[in-house]
Amino acid sequence: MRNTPLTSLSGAVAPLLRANVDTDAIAPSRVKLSVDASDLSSLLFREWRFDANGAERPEFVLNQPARRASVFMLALDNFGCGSSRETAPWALRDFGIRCVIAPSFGAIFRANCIRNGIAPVVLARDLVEQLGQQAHADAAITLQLDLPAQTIRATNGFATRFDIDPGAKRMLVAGLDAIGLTLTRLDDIEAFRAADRLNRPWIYPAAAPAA
Amino acid sequence: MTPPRTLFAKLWDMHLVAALDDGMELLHIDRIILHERAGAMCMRQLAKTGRKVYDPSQVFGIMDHVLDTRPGRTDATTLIPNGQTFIEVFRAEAGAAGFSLFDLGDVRQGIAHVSMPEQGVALPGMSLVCADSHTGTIGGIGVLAWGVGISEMEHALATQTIALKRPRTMRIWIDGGEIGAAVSAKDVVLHLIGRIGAAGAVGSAVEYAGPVVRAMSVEGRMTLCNMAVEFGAWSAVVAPDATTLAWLAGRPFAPTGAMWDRAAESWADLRSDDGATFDAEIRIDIADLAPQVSWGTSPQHVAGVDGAVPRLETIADNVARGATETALHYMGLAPGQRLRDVAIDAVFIGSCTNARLGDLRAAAAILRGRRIAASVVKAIVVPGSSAVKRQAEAEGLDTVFRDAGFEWRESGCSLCFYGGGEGFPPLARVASTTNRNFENRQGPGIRTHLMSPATAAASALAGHISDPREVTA
Repeated sequence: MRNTPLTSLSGAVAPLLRANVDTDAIAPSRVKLSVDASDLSSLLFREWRFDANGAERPEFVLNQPARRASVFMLALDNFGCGSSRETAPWALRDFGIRCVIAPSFGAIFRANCIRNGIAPVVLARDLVEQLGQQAHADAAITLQLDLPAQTIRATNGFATRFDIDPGAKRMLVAGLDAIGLTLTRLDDIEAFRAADRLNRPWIYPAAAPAA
Repeated sequence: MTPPRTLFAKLWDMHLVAALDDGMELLHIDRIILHERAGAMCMRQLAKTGRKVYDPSQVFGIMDHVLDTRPGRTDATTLIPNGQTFIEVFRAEAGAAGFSLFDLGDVRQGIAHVSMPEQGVALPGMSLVCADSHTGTIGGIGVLAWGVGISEMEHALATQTIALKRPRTMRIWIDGGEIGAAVSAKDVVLHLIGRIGAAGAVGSAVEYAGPVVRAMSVEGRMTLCNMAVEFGAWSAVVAPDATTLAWLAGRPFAPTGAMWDRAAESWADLRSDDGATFDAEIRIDIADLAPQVSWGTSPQHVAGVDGAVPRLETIADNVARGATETALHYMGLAPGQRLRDVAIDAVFIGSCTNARLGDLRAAAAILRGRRIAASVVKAIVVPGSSAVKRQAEAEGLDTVFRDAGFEWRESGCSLCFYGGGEGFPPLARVASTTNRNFENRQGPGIRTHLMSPATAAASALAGHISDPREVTA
């Protein structure tokens, strides 16, 4: 499926200045899910956003009035570590967050973001902390992402360039359908398999053994 | 002469279909593993786009996440809201697509990462993906295995490939001692995470090597690989050797006869060449390693069982200090508190980390002829697969666990997280052989202490965190 292309983005930012924020926190497993994708915005950070009775915890960053419509999130090292659940980027996306800025990301989460039109932007930790503290102190600060130019700017004058894999960038900017793209390589895949079948026949089971 | 290559480079190159634009490469995927939680969603998504499974003979489904583990279980006994739908949809989709399913009631059912190598579905030199972050476990037998999300899984199902950028490599060399029952692979990997941190190898392809790994059982190697994701690794692998081949020979899906010989011959090259270079190298020495226990809410928060929770003033980095403070608040522990003084309410022996036969034997050896402390209100053993359960019962281990006061369960992911929809009593403190001590992972407010099966068993007897080396035979 194609994603909405992501080229530029501007708006409010939610600083969540913790390291190792895991996908169990981003998208808790104790919430009823449907086998078909649905709006998961209420799942996002459920146990940090709401108390056991479902009432908002006013101190949590996404419950602060100026941050309720955040499109950016700022976090510390290893954001999205843990479970591979794709409900984590779906919940972020459905909430409206299209760019997460952190010093590093969990590998599976990062790949899941790119597949779902969310830009995982890596900045040095001192820059993230600096911007995070500024944004924490002043909720009026908004950010701007220019993905083709690979820049992040803030309304307080903060500006930096970032690196991103060309492949990831292209996927996000064009909102590409990755499967459709690979299926144009079907001849390569079939040629690989034909040769591989001769070298490693045990990889290609003729039939499963009886249970 | 070809330059020396790492095991990882060999595994990568043998699956390379094509170099793509932008530094991406297209890799062939030899085995695709689906469980019912992600699998049901994934098959539905695929159907929506009108795409089909490329080669069902290379896809294997299994029930582990949603399925209940209580005795007498059925589809309907799962406590996960809407869980039965996931089970039923996944079963129907597997049937329609025509791939094998290790279903409820099948002895091949179990936790995916335990059952697939045990059945010989996964073999050295394969590339394998599963929509689960602990897929790297299977690297313990020399498989290039990694976890993916649902979208990437759809890609694998529809094309039998995944497009990736070649990751950085890291070798972790383990030296200096012997693994026994009281100091296990789990202790080694917990110690390692404590040392390099939860982001110590973000995105890297890790190879475990060195004399300790060579001497280690296949089960122990899988425990090491299982927790590589807890220090951020993309995958982890151990070079297959005679130990691996002896372990795999005769497994139901493994090749036989001349085909086995041919496969085994090809596997002999699956090792890093002398002189191969890695982007990063780490050496750890496990001489004098004590059993390890986690005290916080990240797997990097670990100490020896004879140690203590850190004092905040000893932590120079302000982020680490803040994280420690948050973790101790959640865990209800005081800075400087001795770990052995920490009373536990519950014990969980299970998960893709530590529920293979050797793990159950290690715990049973401690528990045999003893009773868990009266203060331990819930103690559960969940075998890693139905085959492990059957074998353990043949050895009488179920009786040892039951006599000690444990529940003996059917196989599945169970209380490692929300498997089957269960949780521990609110705020319970749990001695757990699992891989994640994240906030709320095992239930709202649950305080998880990660440890080995032997340490969990010793702690169950004492009613507080306890050193298995002090339980005399």
